[in-house]
Amino acid sequence: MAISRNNLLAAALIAPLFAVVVASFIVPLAVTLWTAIGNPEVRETLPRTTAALRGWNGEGLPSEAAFAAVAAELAQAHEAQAIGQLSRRLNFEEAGLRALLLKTARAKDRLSAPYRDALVALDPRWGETSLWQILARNTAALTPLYLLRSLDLSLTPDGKIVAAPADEAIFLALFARTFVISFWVTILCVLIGYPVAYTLSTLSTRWANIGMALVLVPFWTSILVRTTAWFILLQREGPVNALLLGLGVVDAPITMIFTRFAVYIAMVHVLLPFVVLPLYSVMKGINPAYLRAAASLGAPPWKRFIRVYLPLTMPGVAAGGLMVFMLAVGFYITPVLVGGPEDQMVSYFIAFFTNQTINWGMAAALACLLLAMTAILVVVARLIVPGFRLGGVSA
Amino acid sequence: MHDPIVTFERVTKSYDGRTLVVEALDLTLARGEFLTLLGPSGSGKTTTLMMLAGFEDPTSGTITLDGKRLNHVPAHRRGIGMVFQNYALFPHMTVAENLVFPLEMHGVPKAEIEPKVKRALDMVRLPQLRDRKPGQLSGGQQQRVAVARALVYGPKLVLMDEPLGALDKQLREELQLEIKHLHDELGVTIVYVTHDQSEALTMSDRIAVFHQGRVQQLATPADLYERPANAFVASFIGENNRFDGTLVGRDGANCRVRLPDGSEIAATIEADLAPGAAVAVSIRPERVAVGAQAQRDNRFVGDLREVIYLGDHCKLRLAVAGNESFVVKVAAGDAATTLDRGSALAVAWDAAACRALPPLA
Repeated sequence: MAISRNNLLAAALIAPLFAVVVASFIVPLAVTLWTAIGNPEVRETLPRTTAALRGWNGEGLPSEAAFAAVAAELAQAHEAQAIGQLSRRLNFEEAGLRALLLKTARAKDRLSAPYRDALVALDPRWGETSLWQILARNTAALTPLYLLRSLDLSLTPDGKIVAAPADEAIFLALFARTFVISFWVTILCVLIGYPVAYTLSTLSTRWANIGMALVLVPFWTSILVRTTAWFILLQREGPVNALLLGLGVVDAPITMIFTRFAVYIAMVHVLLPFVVLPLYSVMKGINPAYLRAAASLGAPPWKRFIRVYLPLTMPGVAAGGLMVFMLAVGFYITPVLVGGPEDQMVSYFIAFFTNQTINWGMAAALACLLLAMTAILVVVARLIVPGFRLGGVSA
Repeated sequence: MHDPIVTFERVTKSYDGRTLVVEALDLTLARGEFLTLLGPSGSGKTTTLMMLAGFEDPTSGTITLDGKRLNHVPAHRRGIGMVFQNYALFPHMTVAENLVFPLEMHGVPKAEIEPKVKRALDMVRLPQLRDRKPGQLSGGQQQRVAVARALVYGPKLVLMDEPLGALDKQLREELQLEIKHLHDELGVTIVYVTHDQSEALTMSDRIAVFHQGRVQQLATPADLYERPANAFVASFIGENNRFDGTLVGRDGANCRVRLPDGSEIAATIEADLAPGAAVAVSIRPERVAVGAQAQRDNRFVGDLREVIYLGDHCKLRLAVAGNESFVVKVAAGDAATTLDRGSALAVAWDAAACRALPPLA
């Protein structure tokens, strides 16, 4: 009795947390995944066509009923202003289908039975098996097309997976670029952050607080402000070039803005605190007796570092590096502002598909693949990097 | 000293340039001896050890090891083993890896490493734990491994900085004897720092008592106890009853001390003090006789305040001649232990058992 009341109380106490986790994490993730594979357009806009195509074997042309249904439903969709979504969706399957669908919808009054002949007369494409194969395929509730396109693959009308045409095959290179940039940003952050954190950890409390404030002030500044600052600094006529010219280091201004170099500088600057903070806390927790012990056992300074200090600080390197990598993988505004077209990362295309082409399926597919690839990389890193623990401090 | 291994000559250490943590220290360490630096916290004993280990530099003065000046020789080139208070075993290495570390650092050939590790683990009786991580060991096991690690590459000198401080009493006493036996077997020179006087008495060949940055006395355990150089040493080593008074008469080693209440005590004296000097008289609790028939050189009647039962013996606390906590040790069955509080009780002791000491050197 008392136990069940306690259990109820415990459940009630964690319920808000549970609700927040579900609402802010599990639901969006599920919706995103669903958006990446969901395929509602044909089913919802053309229900009778969907029914009529159910019996078709995919060879030759479907029955007259299917032609009649598609002609009527396209016209209805046009009146209900629902044809935009459908035509956009099918145009994504094959370029040019949007025009065909709109043309057919507008031709409603000129069409009469038998519809097969009428439609083929309107546009010979209605007489092609491949068009009907595409329609039939998209009567299914789920589609692999977004995920396939995100991996530079495509589907033929009869359902074979093939390599996407070269001008559309940009996504594998995009993922590779995203991970390469994130990898080097992580390496640079660790290389720069490690000595910073070490220095801070050896200072007296007073100076450590001042140093920590210097690390944190940029951290408290909006990422947009920091990136914009680099945007200004790295201009052709900007202060950095002015300084270099003034010092006589260079004869002509160097192009820095809209380069990979600018992306690295700005991203490292933005992400540095995320590696300094966990490293600092790990370094603070290392008993100086370990290093004294190593010295008394005959280890010169660099061996004390390699054999004792570095392994003991690895949990901090792993936690900080992981955090930087995860954040870098999702970076958007910094590459957009200071990078060139060849420096854009996955997030840029997620935004592009969300805002420009309203192709939520592609945006969701890219997001899901990015998440999956990052997860795989982290698992692999855990397996091959010694002392690597997910954000934790090992004993 | 016929074969010194370490000497401190006029070694002074100050962190801020004003307060001296260690003041003009002269100390010579014989090869193979077990020397304990004993003192309360802040007395300079640990700083002395750290200067010898190479983790602190003396402000002035010279430290030599085997006749070579150690100033500016970094810790890792001194070849001195060290055991730390909190063991300082590398947590990311197994027990065996911890022992391999100093061997590798000293360039021991690969083929000799494994036998040495095995011997060291056998020495501290932990061969079965070689593949454990330090976090999986008990405090006593960790400390044994730390001792093995400090000894495994065969240093001539091993320093121990309160190595047993974190252990419970029983384990501490067990390990005290183990370390002492290792010292006897290996013939290694050990400098041991502790604030625990019974630990120092158990283990040491000689003890240096530190107070306020100075060595108050350097002597064998028996000499420290029987012939303390001053009142600080007398009170720090063992239990002690103290009377502050003035030296009023002296005849060689015999003297008389007048207490503030006017009574006088007959005592022995070694210090170079003339009548009129302030002295502290020290009497060990076990050297005092109690009861009406007790007849000695000094006899007082005290006021019984408390009887403390300790199993094999009892302690009586009395007020005697202005000293409100005069302690006497008696056998558990002694008649005096049955007396009520407030009873008058005679106490007596010989002049030979009580020493007039300089209050502090």
